[in-house]
Amino acid sequence: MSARITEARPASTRWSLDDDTRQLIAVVVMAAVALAAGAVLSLWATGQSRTVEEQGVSAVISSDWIAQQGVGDVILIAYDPQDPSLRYSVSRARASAGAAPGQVADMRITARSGVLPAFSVLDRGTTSVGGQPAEQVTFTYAGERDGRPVLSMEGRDLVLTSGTTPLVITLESPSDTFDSALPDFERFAASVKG
Amino acid sequence: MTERCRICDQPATTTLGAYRFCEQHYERALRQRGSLWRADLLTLVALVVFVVVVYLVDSALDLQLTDPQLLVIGVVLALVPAALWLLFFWRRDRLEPEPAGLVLGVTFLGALVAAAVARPLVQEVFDLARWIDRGGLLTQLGGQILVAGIAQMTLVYLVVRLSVYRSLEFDEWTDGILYGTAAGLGYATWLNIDFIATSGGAQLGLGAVRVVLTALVLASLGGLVGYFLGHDRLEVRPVWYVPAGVALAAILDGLFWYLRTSFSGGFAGLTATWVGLILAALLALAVTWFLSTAVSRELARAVGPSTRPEASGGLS
Repeated sequence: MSARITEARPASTRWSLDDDTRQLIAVVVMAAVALAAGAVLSLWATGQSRTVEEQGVSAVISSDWIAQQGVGDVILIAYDPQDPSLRYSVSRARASAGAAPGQVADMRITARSGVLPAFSVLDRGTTSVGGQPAEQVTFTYAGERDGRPVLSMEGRDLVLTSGTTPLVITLESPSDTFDSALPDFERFAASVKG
Repeated sequence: MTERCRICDQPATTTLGAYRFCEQHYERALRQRGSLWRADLLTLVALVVFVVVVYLVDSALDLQLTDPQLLVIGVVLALVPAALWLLFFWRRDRLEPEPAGLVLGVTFLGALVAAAVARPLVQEVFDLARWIDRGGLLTQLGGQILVAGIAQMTLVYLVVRLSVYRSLEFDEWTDGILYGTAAGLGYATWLNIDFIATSGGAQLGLGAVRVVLTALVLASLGGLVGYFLGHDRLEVRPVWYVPAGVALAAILDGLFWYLRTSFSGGFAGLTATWVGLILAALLALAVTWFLSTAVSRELARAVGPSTRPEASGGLS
């Protein structure tokens, strides 16, 4: 047997943290765990949704939104009860049966410009909703209260072909929250069936 | 065991718990700062009187103010709670005052982290307002505690822990409470200014209630976080001790705002405004009572097992 030369080593190489540092790390870890739990809770809460159906048209909305039946061509209106100025609607352009989405979009622009104060079109083009081609019109107008313009609003129409009667899915929102409302609206639009 | 003072690193003469102290810091560690409790209670009473007076003046005069005037008045209102507390504290703390620069600095840091970290975290990263009402009790209570409460109380903790905690001035049992309260007040001041700015000004009466309510809650819970910090500064505590203190403050914070929202329709004939103020005053009173009795009890306990040279015949 040959002799083996070994180096003397410390019995252990444990980290040594003082009490203050251990408490600091523990607080940071506790806060991180709590915030992670908060993030999971937010994902769960924002994923809460329900399906609403009116006149053969169904759509998925947030569980805390209110849905109601529309009047005339408007089939369905859904809005956030905490901010009723943020709303979605689904309409059937019955008077435009057989018309192309572009023609329906033109007619809605003409109709709106006659009734909404300071109405103007911001952008127009084509897009895809749930894999289906759609005409997209983004517009702005002044929201009114007691006949006086008080709020800058923006909106977006998505006009799709649905059977013989075009379907119009609309978002209306205060201008300052319009961009942040778009992702949820796109999910809503993709969920519309009928 | 080190033979250096825990606070000033000078030769130690006395043991308190597991830490060693010089004579001066041993005595300071065991000093009961009555001025703090008196300042807290005076501020509480003064703020309630302030709210009632502002409310009565607003009702009696029915002032028609422009938006810029409301904004300026709102910002001034937001500064009142911190100004009152600092005023009462310094008037009562003249014998052995804390350095004004440190207390003001911690207050300012509290406001700074609220603006730079808390607001973006809670409102933009977590977007709490968007989902807190979507799942009933679970999300309301969970969101208030796990996101808003934890963010607020952890930041108050970090403000004190990373600024004044290691300084020579942080040498008394009640210093944690003092600096925690200062950080909480700074935090509340920024929340109030932010609320008033984003609302485009504040009606005098309602603005005063909102400002005082936020200040009472965050100042008292900041003091609670500071109590655990101060305790940890002078005694070796288990590793869960300070995290448990921060979590307790976050739970109370979340419960308060949950109850405040639950009573948004009022209670027993009182409007939601006054119910919120009463809840905040009760919370502040309860926390102040708990802290004063807890500190007295801890000081009495700490004196018992302490080891002084004349008693033990040498350094232990």
